[in-house]
Formats: sequence, structure tokens, C-alpha cells
Amino acid sequence: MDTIGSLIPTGMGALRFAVDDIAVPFLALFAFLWLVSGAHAWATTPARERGRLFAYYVPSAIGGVGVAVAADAISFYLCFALMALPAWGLITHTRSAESRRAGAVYLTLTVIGEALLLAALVLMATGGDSLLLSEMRAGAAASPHAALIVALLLGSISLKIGALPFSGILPLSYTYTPAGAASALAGASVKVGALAMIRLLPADAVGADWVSAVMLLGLITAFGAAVMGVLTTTPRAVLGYSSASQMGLVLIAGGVSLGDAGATALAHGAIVAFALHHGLAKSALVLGADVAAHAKGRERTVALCALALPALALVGAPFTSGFVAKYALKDAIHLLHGPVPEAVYALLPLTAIGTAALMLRLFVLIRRETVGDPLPARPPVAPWALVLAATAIATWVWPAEWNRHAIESVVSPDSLWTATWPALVAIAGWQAMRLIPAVVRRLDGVVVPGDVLVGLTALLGRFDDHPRSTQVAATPTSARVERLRTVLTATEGRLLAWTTASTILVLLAVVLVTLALS
Amino acid sequence: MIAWVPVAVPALVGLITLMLGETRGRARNAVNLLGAIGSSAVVVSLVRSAYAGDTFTSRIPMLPGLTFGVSTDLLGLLFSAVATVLWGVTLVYAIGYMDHARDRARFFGFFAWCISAANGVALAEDPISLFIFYEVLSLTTYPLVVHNGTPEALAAGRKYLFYALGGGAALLVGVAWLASIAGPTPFTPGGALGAVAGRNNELRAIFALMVAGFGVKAALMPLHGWLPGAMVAPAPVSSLLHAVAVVKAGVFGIIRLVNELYGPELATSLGVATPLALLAAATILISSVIALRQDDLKRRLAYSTIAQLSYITLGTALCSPLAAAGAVAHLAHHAVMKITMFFTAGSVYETLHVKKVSQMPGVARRMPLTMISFAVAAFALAGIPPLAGFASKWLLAAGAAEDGSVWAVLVYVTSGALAIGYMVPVLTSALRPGKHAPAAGPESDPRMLWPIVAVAVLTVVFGLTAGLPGSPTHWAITAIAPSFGGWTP
Repeated sequence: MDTIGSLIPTGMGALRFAVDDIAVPFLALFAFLWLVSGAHAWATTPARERGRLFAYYVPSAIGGVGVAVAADAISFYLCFALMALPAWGLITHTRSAESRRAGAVYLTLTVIGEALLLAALVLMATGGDSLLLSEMRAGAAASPHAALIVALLLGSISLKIGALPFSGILPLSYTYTPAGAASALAGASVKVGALAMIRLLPADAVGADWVSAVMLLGLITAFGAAVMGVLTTTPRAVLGYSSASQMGLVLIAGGVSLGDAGATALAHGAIVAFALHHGLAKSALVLGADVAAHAKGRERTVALCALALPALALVGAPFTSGFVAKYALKDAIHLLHGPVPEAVYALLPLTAIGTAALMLRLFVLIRRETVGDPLPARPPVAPWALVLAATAIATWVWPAEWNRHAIESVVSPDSLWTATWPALVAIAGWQAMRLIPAVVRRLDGVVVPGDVLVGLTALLGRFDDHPRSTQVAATPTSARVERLRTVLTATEGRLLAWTTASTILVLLAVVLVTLALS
Repeated sequence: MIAWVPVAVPALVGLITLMLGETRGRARNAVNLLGAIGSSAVVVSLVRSAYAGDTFTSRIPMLPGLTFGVSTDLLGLLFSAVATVLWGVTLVYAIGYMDHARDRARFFGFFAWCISAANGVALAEDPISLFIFYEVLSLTTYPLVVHNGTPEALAAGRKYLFYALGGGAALLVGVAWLASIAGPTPFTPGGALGAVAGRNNELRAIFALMVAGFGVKAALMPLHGWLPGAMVAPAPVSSLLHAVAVVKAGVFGIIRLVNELYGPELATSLGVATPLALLAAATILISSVIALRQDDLKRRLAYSTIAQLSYITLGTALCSPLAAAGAVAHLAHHAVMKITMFFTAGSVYETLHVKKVSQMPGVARRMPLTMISFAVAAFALAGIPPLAGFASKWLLAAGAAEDGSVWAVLVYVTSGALAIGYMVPVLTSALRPGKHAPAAGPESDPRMLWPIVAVAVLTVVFGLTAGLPGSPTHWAITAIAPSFGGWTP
């Protein structure tokens, strides 16, 4: 039996990698960001800690770049795991208790996401009788388990991109991570979720109600994560929720791609455009926030001004990459008909208000931030400048179908206005908030990074309480009661935060739906 | 007669070891190591012939109509090779570990006899021969479990004996009942019970009895109670016997029972395969959750073993060719992964007197190579490619999916996630800064360190070569194919 079946991986030689049309933009993005962020991390990490950071960074980067060109199920899963698991070491690098907790939540959700992905891959491989991703995706529609496959994939992707209710995974994984590594996680690692949408989500395998449901989930994430982000108190947490919010928009495109083949092609274009745009802009924001926080006087002002470019890009202001990406997304949604796609299409411009509010919040927090930790050297400006330059030009010069329409429309006054007014609304709202300082003070920081997920760790801690078992042995019952009390108070706090955030979200939803119906 | 070598050589080594006595340590080590190398070489050459299609069979007549025989088929040789080769590796480790222990003659003697019995289970050509070896294995393991002689060890030993003899009794009734209605039934790929087809209720009862018998060693819940307790045994015993030889004898019995005594077709049509699969699935999930809560490292590994053994049972009970092949491959893969972990646990205990996960901070700095090996095995166990555990888990899950048993796919991926859940805390705990200063010299006794590295390397190699001719995966597929009537993947 020398020939062995199509479903059995035959050694490492059988792993297939291919540079195809989809791989090129992702490969360029991932390789660029992992390298540049690595340079920033190298320069800002004290020499004695570099070994410890890069022991995790390098494997994560190899997986993170390899996943773009992985062409079969095994290599894809391998690269995905290689990227996601060592990231735990980046998140817990500071060794603080909070970072460890964040690492635990991250690892738990990542592992669940990987289990879902593996189940989907197994079902797709046996359904399509092949290990090649392209054939697996094509065969999934015919599989008797098509709906289950799509559900498993969506679950896994949601955990990766931080769709609600898992949005907390992104702020948690950025908050404690050293800036360079956080930039790689925010710019490259999260975008693997976008890649997975294109590589795996089958077209035409499930009904239109699935398309609608996924689009709605994306829209709710886009708004909900923005609300939670505005209520947090650190720049990284804001950036994390902003990522979740933006990836909600990508999820809308993912929903469109589940439809028929015509919509899929446009949706894939939008996903690529968004991945490029958001990957570069978010990385520029993370690196820039670090540079600005460590700069003083005039340099700080210059840095903050430069930081405005990626911020405006996220909002989708005219002549930025966000403008192009949103145009591609709108084109894709416009192809679908029905109440939900039409409502999503109508509400889409409003997401920019949330993004604009997040960006304003980011600037306020960066200006407020005082830096305590001394660095061996000031953060280098070169990597940041490179990413900034890429942010400014990438989506414009990238030759592709998806940006043609956007480039044509960039000078039409109509689209310029569509891209501008949400930012103006956000600024107006921001000014209005100054009239009610007491309310603002109360809302400030009601959401801790990680929101509901942090409450999960208390639950997990009960399953796996060995790190505390020594303390429990030292001080018996009272410690246990104390622990329970802490858990309860913390949970109550979380619930309060959650209620505030969700009340605002519900109010927002009512307003939005009214707007959509009018 | 060459078919008897894998059984006879360790038996002889055990006899010589006991006769040499306590004091002649060098001679004892030499005899044991030479025996392990010699019988490994013979097993390897038997594998080469079996791959080429030559199997050797040898029978000793016992009573009229009753023979005691072994046969070197590819399936049996896989278990035999795992037991024999890892016996050699474990000997090196045990010589280091037991350097200052007492009663070493008894220890190494019974150790060799266990391997002899495990090889007998692997190569036995019919249920009655298998039963005899299975019972010998139970008895020869007892002195090893109680080796420390502490009250705790004696209690664990009693528990072990109680479970093992109970299981043995169930197996005996099953085997005797089958012999009385069907006569001699040498294992045949695809099933050996054509002559008694139709006596369905009797066959169902016999299946249940034999599963109860094998289920004790396979630690199928609720028959698993003896395994965590038996962890009081010295680390080499836990490593080889409780990760490789004894527990694998149980699952190997189930593999023979389903594939080569009843046959996948009959097992499915009798409706006995599905309950077995459900029991195994429950065992996987329950014991994985229990493993999350264990602070004692060896107990955590023990519950992980219970879950992983049921991977094999579930894969076999699904009666789908890919899953059955995955089960056989996992028998070998789990052996190298789990022996790495038990070696590590023993080495950490012997070097730093650390037994609990919560005491592990600093261990990674103090014993880096040891903990890297542990990490490799842990990630392999959790099914991260390209390590060994992934290859077998992929086959098991793909087999379940092909069979339409989506629930089993979900069980496999869930338990993979739980495996990360109970393995990663060991690693993160060891990575934290702790009281153990970095080692000035070698991190531990080299006789313990290098076997650990060797089995960790095997874990990587088995994964990297999975599917290539000669790898456990390819071997398992080749060995299992005849049971599914000329199936090729």
C-alpha cells in the first residue's frame, strides 16, 4: 500500500503552501507587520528580556506569516496554532497578575476557537474528500453537515476577530502586551480571521437567513464594541474594542460571502480591502500611541498629529484607506436584497460615528497618559513611519478590482460628504458631553478591558485552582469565603458595567432602527 | 519458534535478574539492556517480514482441542514493538531513577516479566492464549505497584488486584463461553465468528463480558478506579506499565475483540459497538474534566491517560476503517507522548522533590531540557500538528466524520481543547519564576535526562513522518485494512 488516501497527511512533505491571488495581499500584510512590529519590539525591550519575548514572538510570527500561504487543512491548522498559542507568552510578558489573567482568558478562548476550527476542517475534508482548502471549500456546500460546518467556522472566526459577545478578547490581548507585539497581534494576528473567512466559509451552502443573521451579528459588533470601547480608560483597551468594532464590519462582508457566488466575489474583495486597511492603520495606531506616550513637548505634538492619519483612516475619511475599504464593503452589501441587507446598508455609515468617538477617546487618553515605565531607549520612529506610509498608500496603489470603484468616486461630492459627516457628528457629540461632566465622570471606565470575559476566569479558576491551592491551605475557610466574596463583588461590578454598556447599546439600537425605517 | 522470542527473551531476562540477586547490579543492568536490545532487534526484523507478508505462527498444545499460540501479525507486532523498544528506553531511565532504591532485583525481574506478558498479549493468536497472558500481566504488575511497601502503596496494590482479578474473571467467563459455543477461534481480520452467527444474545453477552475484562486495564469508566491510585508506584513503573504496557493491553484487547474476533460488521449489526463508543466518549469527557482539577502531577497524567485510552476505544468502537486505523496509531503515539510526561514527572520529583503542579514555579529554569520535552509531549497530546498526537487524532476524527458520527468528532476536538486546559497550566506554572536556581551542572542524572529527550524526539518523528511507510500511522492503516475487507484509504 504505497499510495495512501486523499484524507491522510503523508508526512511533512505533504504540507502544501501556495502563493495564490488571495495569499498575495495577506502575505504582504502579515510579513510586513510581523517584521516591522518585531523591530519595534526589539528596540523597546530591555536586552535581558528579549530572549523571553522573542522565544514567543518568532514562532508566532512564523505561523502568522505561513498561514497566508497555507493551502491545505493541515498546514493551515498548523500555522494557525503556531501563531495563536505562543501569543500567550506575548500577552503575559510583563508577568503581572492582570496580564496572567488576560493570558488565561486569551488561551481559553483561543483553544476553544481552534477546537471548533479543527472540527470544521475534519468535516470539510471528509465531505470534500480532499485536504486542499480550495477543494474543501468547494465541497462543503454539498456536505450533509453544511450548516454545522458553517456554524463551527463562524464560531471559530468570531473568537478570533472578537465578535460579540467575545469582543473582550481583543482589548485583553492588547492591554498588557508590549507595544511591538501588540501591534503584530492587532495588525496581523486578528486578520487571520478575515483570511479564514475567504479561505474556508463556503458560498451558497446555507440559506439567506444565515446571511442575514451573520450580517446582523457583524453590525451589532460594530456598534456594541464601539460603545464598550468608549467607556474604557486605557488607549490599548480603546484600540482593542475598536478592532472588534472594525472586524464586525468585516464579519458583515463574511456574511455576504455566504450568499451566492456573485456576491461572494465582491465580499472577498471587501474583506481583503478591510484586512489591508485595518491591519496597517491599527498597527500604526498601536505603535504611534507608544511613540507619542514616550515623547515630550513639540515631538509629542508632531506625533499626535501623525497619529491622526490612521485614526482618520479608521473613520473612513476621504482620501484614506478606510474610504476605499468601506466603499468595497458597501458595493458588496448593495448586491443583496431583502430587509436585513438593506437595513445594514442604510446603517453602515453610522458605524463611522462610533469609530470617530473611539478615536476621540483614544486621543484624550493618550494625552492624559503619563508614562511610568522607563525604557532602555525611546521607541524608534522608523518602524512607525514605515507603517504610516503604508497606511497612506497601500489601498490606493494596490491593483485590484475592489478599489477601482472607490478610486473613481473619490472626487464625487456625494461620497465625500457620506465619508465626512459621521466624524462631524461624533465631534459635535463630544462637545455636547462637556455640558454634562457629572455623567461623563460616572461613565468613565465602567467597562474593564475584557468585560464579561474577565468574569469567566472566576469560573475557570474553580476548575483549575491549583495556583491558589497553596494559599488556601495556608489560611483555611476564611480565605475561601473571602475569595467567594471577591468573586461575587467582581461579578456584580461586571454586571453593572455590562448593564450600562448594553443600555447605551439598546438605546442606540432604537435610534438606529428608527433611522433605518424612516 | 522465532514468534516466541519477544515473549521468551524478557521472561528469561526476568528469571536471570531474580537469580542474580540484589548485589550484582552491573550484571543485572547488562543482562537487562542486552535482552532489551536483542529482542528489539528481533521484533524489528519480524516487522520487516510482516510488512512483506510473512507472518510466523507457533502453537503449543495444552489440552485436546486447546492450543497456546502466538502469531506475528502486523497488528500484534505494533503493540509488541512499542512495548519492547520502550522497555529498553525505560531500563536506562530506571537504572538512573532506582540508583539508591531497595529491592532492585525484584523490581527489574518483575519488570521484565511484565514486558514478556505484554508481548504475549500482543502476539496471542486466539482469545484463550490472550487471556492467559493477560492474567500473567495482572499478577506480575502487582509487586511493582506495591514496590515502595508503604501502607498507601499496599492499599493501592490491593485495589489494583481487586479490579484486575475481577476483570480477569469476567474475561475468563467470556472466553470460556465463546470457546464452548464456537470452539477455537483464532483472531481473523474481519471476524472469526462466522460459524456461530445468529446466536445473537449469547454473542452480545460474551461481548459485554470481554469488554468488562479488557475495560479494567483500558480504564473504561466506571472501571478506572485502580489507575490513579496505582500512581504511587515508582516513576518508571508508572511510565512503562501505566502508559504503555498494562493499560495498552486493555485497549489492545478491545481492538482485537472488535476488529478480529467479532469483526466490525458483526459488532455493528449486533448493536454492541455503539454502547461501547458512548461509554468511551463519556470516559473521555469526564476524565478530562477531572484532570483539570488535579494538583498532583502524576494524578493529572493518570486522568489524562484514562481519557486518551478511551480515544482508542472510541475509535475502535466506531467501526469505521479510518477511525480504527487512528486508534491503532494512537496506541503507539500515546505511548511515546505519555511516557515522556511520566519520565518528566519522575525526574522532576527525583531531582527537586516537586510532586504538585502548584510547586512547579522555577522548574523550567532549573531543568530546561526536561521541561521542553514535556512541552513537546503536552502539545502533541493536545493534538497540535505536526506532532504525533495530531496525526492519530486527525485519523480518528476523520474516521468519525466519514462514518457520519459527528458527535464523535466533537468529542475528539473538545477533549483536545480540554487537554490543552490540563497540560498548559503545568507549563505555565513551571515557567513562572520560583525558588529553584538554575542548575550549576547537568540538570539531572543523564541516565534520566537522555531517555526523556529520546522519547520526546520520537514524538516529533512519529508526527513528522506520519503516513510515510514504516511510520506508526502507515503501519496501523496497513494492519487494520484487512479487517475492513480490502479497504484502502
